[in-house]
Order: sequence, then C-alpha cells, then structure tokens
Amino acid sequence: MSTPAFFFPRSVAEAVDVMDSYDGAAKLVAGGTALTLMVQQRLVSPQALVSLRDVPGLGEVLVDEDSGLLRIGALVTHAAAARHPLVRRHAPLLADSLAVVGNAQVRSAATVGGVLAEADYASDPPATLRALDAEVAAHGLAGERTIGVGELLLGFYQTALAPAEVVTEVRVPVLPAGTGSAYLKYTSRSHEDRPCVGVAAIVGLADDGSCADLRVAVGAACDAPLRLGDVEQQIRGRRLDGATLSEFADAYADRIDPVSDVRGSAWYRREMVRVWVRRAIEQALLRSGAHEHSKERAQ
Amino acid sequence: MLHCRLVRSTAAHAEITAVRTGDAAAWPGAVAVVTGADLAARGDMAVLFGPVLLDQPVLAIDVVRYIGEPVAAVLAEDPAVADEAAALVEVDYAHLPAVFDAEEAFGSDTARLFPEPPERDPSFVDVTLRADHERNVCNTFTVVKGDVEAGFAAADLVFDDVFDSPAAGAVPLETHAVVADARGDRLTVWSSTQTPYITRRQLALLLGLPLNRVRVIVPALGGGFGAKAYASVEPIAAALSRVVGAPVRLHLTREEEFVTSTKHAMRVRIRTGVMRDGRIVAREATAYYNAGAYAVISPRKVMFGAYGLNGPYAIPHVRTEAHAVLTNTPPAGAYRGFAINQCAWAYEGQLDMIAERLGIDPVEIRRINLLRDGDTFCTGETLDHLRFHDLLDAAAERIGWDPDEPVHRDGDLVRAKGISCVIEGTITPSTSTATVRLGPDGSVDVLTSSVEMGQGIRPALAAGVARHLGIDPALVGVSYVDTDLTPYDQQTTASRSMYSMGGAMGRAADDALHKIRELAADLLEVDPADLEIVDGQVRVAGVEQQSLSLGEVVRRSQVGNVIGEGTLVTSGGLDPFTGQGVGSVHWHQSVGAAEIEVDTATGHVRVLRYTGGVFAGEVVDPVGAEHQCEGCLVFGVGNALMEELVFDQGQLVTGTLADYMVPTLEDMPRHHEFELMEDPEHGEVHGLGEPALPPIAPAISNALYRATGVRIRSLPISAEKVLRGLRERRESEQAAGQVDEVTSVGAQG
Repeated sequence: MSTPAFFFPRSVAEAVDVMDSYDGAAKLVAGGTALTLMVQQRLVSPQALVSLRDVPGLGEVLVDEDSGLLRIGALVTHAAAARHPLVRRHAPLLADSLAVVGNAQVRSAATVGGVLAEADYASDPPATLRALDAEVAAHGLAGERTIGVGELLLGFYQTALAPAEVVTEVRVPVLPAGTGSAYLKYTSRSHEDRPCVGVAAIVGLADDGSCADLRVAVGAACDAPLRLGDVEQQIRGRRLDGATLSEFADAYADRIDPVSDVRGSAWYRREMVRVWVRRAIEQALLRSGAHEHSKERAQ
Repeated sequence: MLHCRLVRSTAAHAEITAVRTGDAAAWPGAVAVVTGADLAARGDMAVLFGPVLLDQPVLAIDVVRYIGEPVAAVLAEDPAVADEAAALVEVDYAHLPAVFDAEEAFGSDTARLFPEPPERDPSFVDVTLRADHERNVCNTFTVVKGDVEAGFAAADLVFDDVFDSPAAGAVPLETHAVVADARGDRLTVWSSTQTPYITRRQLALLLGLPLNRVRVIVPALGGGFGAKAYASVEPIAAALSRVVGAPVRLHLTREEEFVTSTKHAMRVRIRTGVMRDGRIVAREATAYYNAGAYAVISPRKVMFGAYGLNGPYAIPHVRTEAHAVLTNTPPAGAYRGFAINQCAWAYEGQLDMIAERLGIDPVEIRRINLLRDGDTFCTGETLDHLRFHDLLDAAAERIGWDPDEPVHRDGDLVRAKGISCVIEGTITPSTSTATVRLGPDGSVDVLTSSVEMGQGIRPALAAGVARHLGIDPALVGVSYVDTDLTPYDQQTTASRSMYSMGGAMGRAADDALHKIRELAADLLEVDPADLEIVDGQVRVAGVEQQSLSLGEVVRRSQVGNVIGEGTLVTSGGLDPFTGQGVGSVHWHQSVGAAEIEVDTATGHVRVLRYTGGVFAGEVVDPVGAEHQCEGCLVFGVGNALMEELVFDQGQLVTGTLADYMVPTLEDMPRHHEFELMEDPEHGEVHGLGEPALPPIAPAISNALYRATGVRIRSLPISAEKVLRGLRERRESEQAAGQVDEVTSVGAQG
C-alpha cells in the first residue's frame, strides 16, 4: 500500500479527465467522511484521490422557477443544506433528513452529492431523495446526463455512475402546497448510530380527504432505498384509516429483502419496516394541508 | 525516535509457519522489521510477560491465539512509512482448533490454548493459583459458607437461571500510548499505564534490569477504566527499543484498542433457594469468565466474581465458584466494576423474578435480605458500617417507588421503575506510600504515584491534604507519576486511591506536622506538647497572637523543606478453595433506581430517570465525586442498552466506533441524581470510581421487567431482544388463553 496521489482539479471536466486517466483506480473526494473511514480500514486502496474542493459552482442552492426544481450543488454539506432557507421552504423533508445524519461533525463535512455517490445503504438522505423523485446531474466523458435516484442507487455501494462520472447537482421537485411529509429515523442502539430503518413518507390528500398522493421510501433496511410504486398506486383514492395504513405497511414489510447486521436481524428489520412505515405516514398526515391545525399544535 | 506499527494475527488459533518480512524490510524508510522469533533468538531478554502468569509473548512466537495478536513490528521514522511497510509483511498460518465461548472452552476436548502450563511471575504473591491449563483454566475460585445442599433442601422454592454478559470495550478517549528508550543500561518509559509500579516490575523482569534502572513516567491519561492496568504495549516498545537502540513510540489505533483489553464476557448459572416469606436461604452459582487468550489479571478477577455472586444479602448457605477460562479472543483485563457488573446483572435480575413469583415487592424483598451490621458475609467476615437499608429506602423515595403503582401506558409507550443493590470489594491487601513536602513559602508538594486519568485524583488529593494541613488547596501541588521520583503505589484501580493513597497522604501530612511542631517548639522555645496547629498556623495552645504559619516555620528553621512520609498497608486475602478470610478492607455499598420507557412496537428502551446511592464514608471533593457517579451512569447505560464486542469466529465485528456504540448525551436520562451517603464518625473515605456502576444495568432491566414482564438474560438489552421477548410473551399468553392488552399492542404496532 502506498500513499495515493492527490489532485485538485479546477473544473468538472478536469476532474473527469483525471478520474478517467486512472481507469477506475481513483476515488473522488467531496466531504470525505465515508472515504476516509474506508481508506483507514483498507476497504479501498485508491491510487489517486481527486478532490472537488477547487471546482467552482458546486456549492450553490437555488430554485428553478420554470422547472419547479430545487437545485442543490453536489458539494453543499448536509449542515448547510439543512439550514438553507430554500431547502427548508421547498423541501422540508430533505432538510429534516439531512439534519439527523450522524452527528454535527459529520453533517458539517458530508455532502449531498457524496451521500448519493457513496450509496451506503445505512444512510438517511437517499431514502428521502428517492421518495421525492429527485434526480442527479452527472458529468462524464460523454457529457452531462440526469439520473433518477431510483436508477442511480443499484445496491450496496453500487451506483449507475461510470468510474469517471461526477455528480454535480441534486435536483429535487418542489412538493405542491398542502403536501405532508416526514422522515423518521430509527436507531436501535446509540442515538448517533446509523439508522436501523429510515422511512420517508409524502402524503397529499384530495379535498374529500382521500389519498391523492402517497410516496414512501424505506432506507437502511435493504441494499438500496425501497419504493413500491404499485402499492402506492393502489392506495390512491382511498381513505388513510388505520386498516389501510396497516395494509400498506404490511406490503412494504412483506416485500422488502432486509439486511442483517449489528443494528438488527432481517426479522427485526422487517418488523421495524412495518412499524415505521406506518408511523412515518401518520406523521406526514399530521403535517399535510388537511391537518394544518394539528401541524401548528405539533410544532 | 522510531514509530512502531504492528502486524497482527488474522488467525484465531494457529501455528505460525512463516513470517515473510523481506518486502517490508526493503520498503524505503523502514528501519527494522522484528518478529517474536527475532526477540527470542537474541537471548538478552525474556519474551513472555503477564502480571500473574508469564503467558503472553511480546510478539507471537510459533503460535497465535487470537485475531489481532501482535505478530511482527515494523519501525520507521515516519509513521506513514511504518504503516505502508507493515502491510507488506506476510504471515502463513496452519490453523488449530479454536474456541471462543468460555463455557465451551472449559475442559474442551478439541481446543487447548497452552499445551504446557506457563510459569508464574515470581513477584505476584497475593493470588494462590488453581490454574489448570489442560482444561484452559487460568484460575478458579470457590466460596463456601454453610451447607448449601441443606439450604436448598429447606427452601420452599428454588430458582435456576443462566445470565450472560458480553465482552465490551472500555473505550478511553485516548488509546494506549507508550514511548520506550532502552539505550544504555537503563530503560525509560513514558506510558499511559494505570499501574506504573507493576509495569516497572514487569519491564525489569522482561529486560533483566534491577528495578531502579527502569523508570516509568506517566503523564495525564485520556481515560483508563481498567483497560490500561498492567503492561500491554509497554513490553513491545521496550523490547523493540533494545533491539534498535533508539526510542520507540507505539500508539494504538482505535481498532487496535478494541482488541487490547476487554471487559470479560461472563456466563453464570445461578440457583437461589428462598422461603415463601422472601428470605434467601441458599445460593449456588458457577461462573465462566472469558479471559481471552492470556491470563492478565483474570486469576484475581475470579476471586471478586466468586464472592461477588453472593450479592449484598445475608444468605446462610452459599457455594459459588468462578472460573477464568482461556479462549481464542482478545485478552480480557480490568474493567470498571471489576467482575461485579456481571454478577449483579445475574443476581439482581433473578431476585426480581423471585419477588414476582412470591408476590413480594422488589424493594421489600431487598429489605428482607440486605446485609445488616453484624451479619456474616460469605467470606466469613463480620460486616459493619452497613448502610444498605438506608441507601435503598432513600433511593426508593427519590424515584417515587410505590409498590402499588400501575404501569404507565401511552399508546405503544410503557413506563415503569426498577431497583437494584450491589456489594463490591476493593483490592485487599494493598499498599500506598506518599510524600508531603512543605516549602518555605507555605506551598506544599505532594509526591504520589496515583495516576491521573481524568478521574480527578490530583484535585481530590490536593483537597484532602489541604484539609489535613488546614491550608488553602491552591497551595497544594500534586505530582504526576515518575517512578524515579514519586514513591511506591500499588496501582490506580479498584476505586482504591482515595482510601489507600488518601490514607497514606494523611499519614504523610501528620508526619510533616509532627516535624513542624518540633521545629516550631525550638523557634518559640516551648515544649512541643504545648503547641497546637490550627488552620495552618502553629501556636502555643490558647495564645492566639503568638503563631507561625507552616511556611514561616520552614523558613525560619532554615531546613529548606519539611518532608513527611506516610504509608498505608492493608492486609487480608481469601483462601481460594473456601473463599474464607478477609475479602476487602471495606465494602462498597451501592443502590440504583431507574425509570424507563419502552416502545412496545420496537422494543427500544429509554432511561427517563436514574438515581443512585453510594456509601461514600466521607466525601473529599464533592464535585469530583459527583462526576465519578455521572461517569458511571454513562458507562452503565452503555453496558445496559448497547455496548457489545460482537465476534464472528474470533473476528471482531464491532471493531470501530462506527460499529461499536457508546451512548451519546441524547441516550442519557434527562434527570439523574446521586446520593453520596456519609458517616463522618466512621472517618473513612471510600473510592467512588466504580461503586455507582454495577446496579445500573440490572435496575434498567428490572424496570423493563416491571413494564412488560420481559426478562432479558443476556446483555445488552437490545431493542430486538426486547421485541422478541414481547412476542414470545404474547404467544405464550395467547396459548394460555389470556391475551394481555399491553403486549398485544406491540404486535399491532
């Protein structure tokens, strides 16, 4: 093992070139929180480290009025995004998810691009971004493309990114007014543990109180955030009473292929999916337009 | 100075068939690559060490006995170069049968760690060994009181349970660190040890030097909690320094720290016979302490374990036995609560099961059985200064104990309270010496070999000496440890320093005052007997205007300084076959009460409130004393709810702080309170480093039991275990046709 070469490219194109020149043996460094641990534990031994620190334009947050997208630069840290007024106004669900990652030290370094590119299953923001139908912009040898988070995250530490492809931006559709959302992180051991299960839920109710929109993504319990589009579809138009929520949560619990690790066995994970899917929807309901009064009381 | 990086075993139990060091030695910047065989071939040093048994190789020779054992050392001026070169060392292993569980290892037919019994360290005198290496046992300790069979025969009911505690890490903020310089005919070691004088002895034996040519210097430690007691990294650095003729530094990574010294995993089968009125009449227990691959201090630990299993109760018939069993896991060492946490986890959990079965309130069954003054402990000692009943009643009041209080329910959340009581000894016999030096300006130097490791021993000793001399504590300076300069102390463990070193310090202060009195008598031309010393002033009794400060006496006498010396030696010891004798010079008495909330849908337990009570004798440093108890609370909540070294075939799975959990502030109860019960007439200071710890996990578990009826028998009380317990309970109740509302909530989630 030798000390890796360190590069500080000044543009995305330059970063792509350096990555390409190492043919998969280089690693991008954004916040470095995950990579540092992996290098220290010799889980990865990159020949080169390519820092994005000096690449301009990756630290901005803005709302694109035309597309209705909240655009967050890949290098924006969890802490900065969580407290950013635009994120708080247009994607409070994401702000909440970023605010519960690890601890203050981690949040001050880890980036929104990095957490997706790393694709660690035991992480909070990916599930939320999956529920929000977020996309990433990625630059590679063939230029820029956008990838939905659902297509990006393939499995344990696996993404659809090419070795020389750089995530530059995370794009989050702004939710319609009155939509309720919640991210519930469940840690089975220490408060600062990674999630045993994390559930992001988004609920929109029709005027008659029936479900107009329900999106639920389960994170940290299997290889990549789990969303069941058909189950979501089936529930639309129905009233979200206790029996319906149980049915919905059972569908997620029954169909997930849960991991077993020190935070919980597969059996336990499945049971926690059952509990926390339901609780996340209940929480989202409290924050939806139909429950404005409850929302104010809750806050 | 050279930095050392260790190459560690990847095999749990294996013969080393080859160590290939060529590539590492050829790596640019690598100064030396050293193996255990290299050390043995020199012939100028011993290659085995250990405080009781000389069983642990400095670097593995021929055999490795756990994953993580040091096999080779790479030295370089640049630590990064040492890292790089270490990765190039290749070791070939021929695997041997391995065993990881203490009870399985006990008399195992397949796995045996030591074909030949190791030698004893000749200077370790206070442990009579019953080692049996043919059965992987490095010591056994038995306590017998009364006739346990007769006791069980007379009992109305007998309870028979097995409890488990896992290995855990002490997780000091600062990992083990050492610099050793063996150049010339001396060895100087800067070490993070809690046991400077024992380490000096171990190093002198290793390098064949007289004690006075081994100097151990101990700066402030970033925590110890027992993990830094006895030599561990020091022999490696010292041996390597002799090999290369340069100072050698070794500072463990966090991952290495986790495999250097652990809390003992322990399994105990505990049988308790009771009468229907709640009296405990018989106890029999057999405990298997998992010592790991090397004995370290396990031979002494089983003594604490054997009498510890009696608990703080007056039991007429007792037979307890504790085995320290060698396995292919990292060496277990001292750990806050030395052997007692594991005992209390078992007997206090079982006692609440007994109470429930008998229909007796948990506080009441403890009142019935707790030791009182004049009772005979299982060691044959007649105990006095017992305050268990006062501590229990006060803790019950603080937590708001009400025998008829219903369990509180709010949706999935259920709240209840639990209580526990623990007795713990301190290391006996033991010796401390201290020097107090009065200067001509009135300032005072205290020379001590007590180790400051964040527990606050320096301010506490300063407060004690200042009070003794009647002066401002700001005038007292307390030394760090340097065995060339500071006098003998046995060790900084076992919550002994405030008692032993504090006692020695008091004698040293008295000795200094005696000399001051003699000098002042000459100055004032009076008989020494006519002088009194009040508030740091020497005066003729009754004549307040004619007084001299301590500093003035030193200055005007032109003696330079006045030196007082003090020694405190306690005696005692127990027979290892019967456990009879003197177990402890005094007994730590501790009570804990917890209120918890369990989420019955997830099994997750939160501690809402905790209150503890400890008999402190006399509190010297109130703030420091409170901090020690709060530190115990953090430790206890971690042990109770999350801390566990998980091994898979000897490979540590939770070997980083991302995988091994320690509690955060958010995991702490919002409210906590500790009572430090004093008895000024008793006039004895009890240490507070550990006593508050052992009741915590059982109190939390007992609260969970009251809330849900779920009894967790294996620490930690993980959410998953609790949920499984809730499900099993619901199923058995459904089978019995009596569905309980509380537990069915968990299933509906």
